[in-house]
Amino acid sequence: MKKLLIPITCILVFFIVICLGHEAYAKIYIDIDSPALRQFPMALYDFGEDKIGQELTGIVRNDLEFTRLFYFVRKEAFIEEKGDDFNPADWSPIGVEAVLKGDITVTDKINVVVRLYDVVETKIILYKQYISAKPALRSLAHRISNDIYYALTGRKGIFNTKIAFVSKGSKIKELVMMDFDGARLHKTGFRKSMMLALHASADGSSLIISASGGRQWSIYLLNFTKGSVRRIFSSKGINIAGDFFSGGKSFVFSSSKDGSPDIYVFDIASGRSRRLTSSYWIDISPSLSPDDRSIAFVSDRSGNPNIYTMSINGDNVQRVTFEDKYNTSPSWSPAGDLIAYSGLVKGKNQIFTVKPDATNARQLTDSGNNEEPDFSPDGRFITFTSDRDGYKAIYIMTTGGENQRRVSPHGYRAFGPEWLSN
Amino acid sequence: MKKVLLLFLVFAFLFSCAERKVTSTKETVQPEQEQTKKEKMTLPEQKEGIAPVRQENVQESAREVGVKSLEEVLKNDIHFDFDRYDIKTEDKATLKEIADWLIQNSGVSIRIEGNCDERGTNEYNLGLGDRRANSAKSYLMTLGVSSSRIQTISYGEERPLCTESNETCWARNRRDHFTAAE
Repeated sequence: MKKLLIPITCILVFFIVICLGHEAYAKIYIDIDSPALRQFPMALYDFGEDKIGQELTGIVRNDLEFTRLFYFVRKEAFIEEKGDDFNPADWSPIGVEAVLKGDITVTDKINVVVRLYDVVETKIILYKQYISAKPALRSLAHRISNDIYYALTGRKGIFNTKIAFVSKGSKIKELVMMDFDGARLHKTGFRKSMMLALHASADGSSLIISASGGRQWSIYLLNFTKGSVRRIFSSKGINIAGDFFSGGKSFVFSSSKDGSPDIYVFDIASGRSRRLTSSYWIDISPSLSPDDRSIAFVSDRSGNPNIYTMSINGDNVQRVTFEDKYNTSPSWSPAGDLIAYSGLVKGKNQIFTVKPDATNARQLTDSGNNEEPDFSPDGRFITFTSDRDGYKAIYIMTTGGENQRRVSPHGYRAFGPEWLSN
Repeated sequence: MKKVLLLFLVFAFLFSCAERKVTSTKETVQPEQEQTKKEKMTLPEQKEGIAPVRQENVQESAREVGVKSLEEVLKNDIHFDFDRYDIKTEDKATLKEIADWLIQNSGVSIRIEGNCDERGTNEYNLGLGDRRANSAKSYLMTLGVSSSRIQTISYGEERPLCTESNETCWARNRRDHFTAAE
């Protein structure tokens, strides 16, 4: 069995987290489901004056700003010194609703104390101490961002998640991982001349991927806990991995092993596959709904590729896309309320979202070609491939299409992002 | 080295046999079909030209089929329209030549590689390439080639011949490429 190079960030990073005070998580400060969402005004002090303190501040600030949920008031407006006691009267006049004060002490370890204050109700809502090893600074910073995010929204943050994707060399493709913000990029050592369709299990421990050396398309199972790679399915024709079922024991895939490409379910333990569609047409790219009960897929049964849904036994096929003539790459949102896909508009692929009942189709991108959308685990963001800067690279944006930015390094050719859950 | 030489001799023997056999039987077995094909192909250029002597023509085309190496027979790609996988009329002659060669040279298998232009999306293009390869395979089978002698693979948009973003280049990339299979 081939071994993967396990990057340090894939190994669980252990922190010591000590709750130093009573935390009132009951109140939701930011209702992220609210349609009329305003940015929540905050004050953020630097964790420390030195390089490591500045770095920590920068990461936390970037994390929170990326969500577009927070607004940081300029430091020049602060009345209170960092060492002063928290006083709501210093903050309400300038409209600040929460104040974050953090201190960092660096010895052989990093020691951070974080206090988050609620200005309106005059109370501390997060008071924690974090101790970690020095190389884990980024993980620690993201962990702090997650705690702040949770304290204010009541939802789990995505700041410690990773994106897996394929790097595109001239002759060879390689599976690569990076933090959701593009930091800590590392190669896994899994290389093939052709590679696509990455799909992760719900716990982020396993990944299935389709790859070919030029003769045959096979599906490989990569286990990050064991660091193993196993070829689990191969046949003539194409075999393209689709989503895992919730339990991680089986997955959907498309294959032309019996003729034209159709949708199948593969059971990992038995190695058996079960056919769901049987048509003369191309049926391809299955994406599972989060409740495991429906499948979105692409079919050209209408004469051009479009997105369809069907129940898990292959019945009740419904067409979802009607605009334009080339709609592919469906990806179901974690809440089940949206399907993201790529649609060809004026000769260029653009990312859209649509409700599974075929209403509310909404175009999110308009620059270059944009393909292969995949939702973040919390459903608030989408990662995708775009060539808007002249080469294919990995981008992220909010589910509403805001804040579109490249996260893979400048000049680095990449495609096929899959947002891992942790 | 010995093996290569042996292989060469075997091929040389096969070809010489094939040629002789074809020239002697062709006229009675396949004259009509060959003529139609030839006429079709020469029609645009030779509209009012002199009709070629029939027998000579048949012998000519037969020798071509017999003498050509597999590489020569497989050197032409066939092409497809955007998002389509039906065989074009102008490519039928290419497929016929391949089929004829395979029928006369048993024991040789080929691989058809289906390719797409960059405009579609990766996964769908892989499906499209698969259908393109299988369209050619089905066509060869209707011409009498056994399915066991034709392998197919889809490369989707992974192996473009040409990397510019314009229709000329895209059209070149939307192709089935043929190669000898090991």
